[in-house]
Amino acid sequence: MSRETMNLLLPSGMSRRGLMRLMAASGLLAAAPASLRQAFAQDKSLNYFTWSSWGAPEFVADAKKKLGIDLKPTFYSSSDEMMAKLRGGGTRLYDMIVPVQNYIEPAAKAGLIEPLDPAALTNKKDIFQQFAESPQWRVDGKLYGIPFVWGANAIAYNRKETGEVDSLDALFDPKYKGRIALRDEPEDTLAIAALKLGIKAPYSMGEKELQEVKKLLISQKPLVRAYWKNVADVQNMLASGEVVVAWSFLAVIAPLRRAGVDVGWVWPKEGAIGWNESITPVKGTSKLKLVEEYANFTLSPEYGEFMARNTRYAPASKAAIARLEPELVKDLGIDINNVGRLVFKDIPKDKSRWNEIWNEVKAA
Amino acid sequence: MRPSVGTVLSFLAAPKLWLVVFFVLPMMTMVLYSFWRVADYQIVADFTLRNYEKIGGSLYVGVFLRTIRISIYVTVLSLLIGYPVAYFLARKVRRFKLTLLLLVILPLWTSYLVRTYAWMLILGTQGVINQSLMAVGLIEEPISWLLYSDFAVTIALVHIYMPYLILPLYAVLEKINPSILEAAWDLGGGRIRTFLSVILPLSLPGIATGCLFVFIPSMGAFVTPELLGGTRSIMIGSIIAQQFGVAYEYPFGSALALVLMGIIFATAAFSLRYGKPKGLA
Repeated sequence: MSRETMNLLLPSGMSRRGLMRLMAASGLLAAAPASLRQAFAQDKSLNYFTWSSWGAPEFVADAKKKLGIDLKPTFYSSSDEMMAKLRGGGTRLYDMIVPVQNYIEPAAKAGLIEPLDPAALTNKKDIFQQFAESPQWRVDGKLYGIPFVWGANAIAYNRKETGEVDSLDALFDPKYKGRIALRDEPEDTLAIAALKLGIKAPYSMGEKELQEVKKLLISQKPLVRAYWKNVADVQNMLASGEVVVAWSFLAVIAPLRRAGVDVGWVWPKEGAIGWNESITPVKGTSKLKLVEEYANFTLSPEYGEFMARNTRYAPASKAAIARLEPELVKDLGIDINNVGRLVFKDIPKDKSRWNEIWNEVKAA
Repeated sequence: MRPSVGTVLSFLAAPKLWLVVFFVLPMMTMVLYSFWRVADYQIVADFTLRNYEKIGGSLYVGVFLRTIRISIYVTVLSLLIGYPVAYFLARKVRRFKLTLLLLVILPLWTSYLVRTYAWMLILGTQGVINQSLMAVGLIEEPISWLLYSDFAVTIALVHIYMPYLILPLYAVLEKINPSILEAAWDLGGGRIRTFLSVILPLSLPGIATGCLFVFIPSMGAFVTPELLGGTRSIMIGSIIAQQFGVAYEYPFGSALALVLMGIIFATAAFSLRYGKPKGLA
């Protein structure tokens, strides 16, 4: 079916994208002839399934200006949502996504993503080695991404109440009884407890270590005000004074400071939980070359600088960081000299056991 | 002209088809999933009873019991508050009846999430209650168990689900024939006696339906406990949601959901059996 006949058949006011979404939702797309899908593949546009930060209007305008690529963003707000939509037929709707490193193996094994050609990513030379060579972006010898952005989940604290904090001990300190918040997510919280116990590789813990972690977290429960689910909730807790020290995302810091709360942000000396994200092609995209072009662009110093200034997230490109003033680098919440402290979030050896241990902690 | 058998059947076919597509098929899918397993991030269609065995462990039995306990608190509290409201609306109010009924359902026009967040503002340490109590000098320190506790979860669920109890109860109470009440009074029954031996038994179907309408959604609640609950407020809804989200354990989640449904069906069967009007009908 040609594009013209499709337009004729469409109810007025509905875009082709709208129709595609509708068809995907109803499962019809699976039955559509391949030629129909081809009709959408001619232009220089990319259906970009991403976090809201990376698809903001200034990024769309930048891609158009520098590469002539039309980004058409659709947003997800959690990695689960990304996975669920891709599994539910979303692979037919999108050309690329921005996964976090620990979702690469599951997404690759479930046949949701496509590898990139390493030769197309010429800007890789500027990327910090621990990101460029990270095994987490490689499955069965194939490369699924080179991260352009990174950061860490760490401790946010109310300086007025706690003074300076530098250790995970603050989260276990009876002084702050009832004023501590942790994240309601096993892969953050079990890992923190493991680091506190001095376990160096939390994500490959065995049953014996998991039991110790469980014991520690249960003994900590009387000190904890709440386990937060959404980042907005921990921000509220810190803003309203419900808690004074919390395991948190960096994203809460700037708004809290704007609201006049004197919050500190620190990667505890025992370790912080690192994350990084890359452009990754979606399985079956007809525009792999264009995705690779864009992926390489996100690794460039220009993109890194643009991103840091617009979003306050840290670029993975050394060359990009070199372009930033020292004060801004400090603002990014990254600690270049202490990258060694990061433990990159990974798939736990026994993921369902981790979930169960976390439920046992919560039910205790 | 009488409609032919074929016409009648085809009229019946549409709702049947609807039920099959939107109820029977999804349900069967869940039953099937609950006997499968996940391996290497894919769902594998191997028959196994492991999911159900897992539910029998102390962790999940404990969470189910907790969930039932909180749902009972919510139901009883809703009944204690909702019954007088329904009674008042049905039997005492003459003017502004429609307006008052509208006020009962008004909270339903606000999103569930907004109503849950509103309780944070009310119950928090900086919230209305704590700040007022401190202002008048009744307490020195904010009461911390108001928020992030079972108390907060129960109060919020009562607020969210009580309209569903008041409406059916109102409908039943309003239909009670006034001549029956007059007969009770003529025979010397006082206010309390009339209420206990006549009105209350006659309103049992309304109580049963209303309580079910509160108990069932409370059993499945997960957003409210996650937002307002403390470190111990885990309910089974959160665990089910977890299986379909971060855990990617659809088979185990399906098994949990089916057990939850079993509990709910049993409760419904029980209430409908014992919720028949007693005495005069």
